[in-house]
Amino acid sequence: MNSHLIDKLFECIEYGKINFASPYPPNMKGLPGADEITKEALEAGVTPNEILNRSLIAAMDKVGKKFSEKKIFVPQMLLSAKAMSISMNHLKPYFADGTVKRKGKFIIGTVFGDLHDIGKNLVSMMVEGAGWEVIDLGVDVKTETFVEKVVENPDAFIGISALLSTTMTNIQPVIEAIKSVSPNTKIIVGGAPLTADFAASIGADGYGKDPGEGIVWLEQQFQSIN
Amino acid sequence: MMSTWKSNFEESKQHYLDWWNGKGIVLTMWEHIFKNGKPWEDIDRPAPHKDINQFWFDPDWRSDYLHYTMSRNSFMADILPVANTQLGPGSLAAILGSELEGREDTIWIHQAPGFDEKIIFNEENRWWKLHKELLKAVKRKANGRYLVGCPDLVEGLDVLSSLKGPDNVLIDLIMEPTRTLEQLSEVNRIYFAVFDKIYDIINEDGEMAYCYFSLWAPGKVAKLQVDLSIMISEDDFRMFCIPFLKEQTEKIDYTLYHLDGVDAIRHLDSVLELKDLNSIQWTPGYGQSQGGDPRWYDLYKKILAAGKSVMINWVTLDELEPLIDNLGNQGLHLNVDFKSEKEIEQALKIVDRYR
Repeated sequence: MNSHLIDKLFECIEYGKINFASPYPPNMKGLPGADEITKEALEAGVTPNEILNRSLIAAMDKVGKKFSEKKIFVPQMLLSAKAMSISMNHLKPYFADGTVKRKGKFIIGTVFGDLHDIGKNLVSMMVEGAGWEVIDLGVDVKTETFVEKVVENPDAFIGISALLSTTMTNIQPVIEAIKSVSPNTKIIVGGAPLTADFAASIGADGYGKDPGEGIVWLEQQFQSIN
Repeated sequence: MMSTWKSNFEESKQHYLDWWNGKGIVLTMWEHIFKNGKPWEDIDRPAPHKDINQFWFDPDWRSDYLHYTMSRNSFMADILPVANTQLGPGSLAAILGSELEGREDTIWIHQAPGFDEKIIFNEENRWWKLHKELLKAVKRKANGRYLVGCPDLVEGLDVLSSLKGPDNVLIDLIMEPTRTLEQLSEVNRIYFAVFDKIYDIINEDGEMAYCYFSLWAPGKVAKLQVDLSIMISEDDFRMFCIPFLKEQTEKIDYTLYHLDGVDAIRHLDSVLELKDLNSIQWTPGYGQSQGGDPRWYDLYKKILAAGKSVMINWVTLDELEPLIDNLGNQGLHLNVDFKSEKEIEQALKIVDRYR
């Protein structure tokens, strides 16, 4: 019974079935979505940890792989992320009381001078779906804001994005400022114009060419401290 | 009849006309460099701009500044005498309700505040008024000595994206496909209305130039794009982009499609099916080898074999000869990243051997 609900929720996340009212995907029209099934699963005694790990994280991992393999594209991924997010809302009380623990904190923002947000949003949603608490600072984020948040959350990992060749050079001063107050903070960078070589040259600890690579990097960091 | 500062304009026009028809070579650059020696006319440099808003959005100051720089630009080879009047990458969105914000290096387009899904062209929109005022002011100053480029209006999904945010547009492709198609039809309808009004202001004896992409034509000309295409499937591209691009290629005399980034290549086949499209420009993107690199030869050959001309950007001097040797001398628009008129002379020596 419980396993059945976990599988159904997994399917809702994988295919982006948000709730009963959502017409997408067409073959699940008129059926309950992630919203209703998460509620049903909790009432049926499925633990929040099982929901998080076996449905949400597992499904988003599969979504990330399908995206990397170009089997799905951004619209489909956004709907999966929405389904995941609505399910996650039911788990918030359990995060708050410590029943369910996240892997850690991830602070993300688009560098100052750059107002693009879609790539940053995708990474943000996928990282949350991978079991992390995400602090999204938005776009055009000033160096001081990054530093302030790092000081408030000294154990957090940082993600900085840029979508223009003219703004990617703004990342380096942000990294330098963060490292000057918190030398051990690990920072990953990404965005269309960036490369692994560029990331290394500006002192970043990691580079992700897509959300999936970002999550792999975060998992490696998680493993190394646990 | 223009009395232009470009002494070889008639020759360059022929190169462009040939290129639009799949023949010959255009040799030019993305924007301009200053010429050697005296300016074309002794135009006073305007007082420094008071702030960034004046730099971008004051028609009088900006037309003075453009007039001053144009009087000092080199128009050797096929470099066009065109003033760059861009008001942001996709200023049609501002005309439809988005907001423009000028910054040091570019103009940002912010989502339309309180966008209610209605696509409405209000003639009283302040950004539309600015478009007209700027173009008219530059045209007055130019007085036939150079052309006024059409601002980078942009169209289709990219405009919707500027109006309501890319996330919302992408989700709507799945959740609200009918409404999205209706909105795209409306965007196209308004695009043509705006485009025609701009053409009426800027054309010179029916001829027209675009502010970017070094484009001139003996009629209406536009650069087309769907930068959002890198995020969608081939099926969605065919459904949400191709019909509207097709309409543009049919209504505008000369069209170039801006193919932006490696992830956009998967849509090339459907773009090549646009019968009335003249040419395709390839932007490899930062971190990739640029347009003159041999790794893109097959891409260019595919475009040329489909009967379209190609525009190749950021070619270096040493790449010119092997590039033409490999692609042939028909239907090439070569944008070289010139640093001096001496380099233009060197490039001309190479290209003239193939003409």
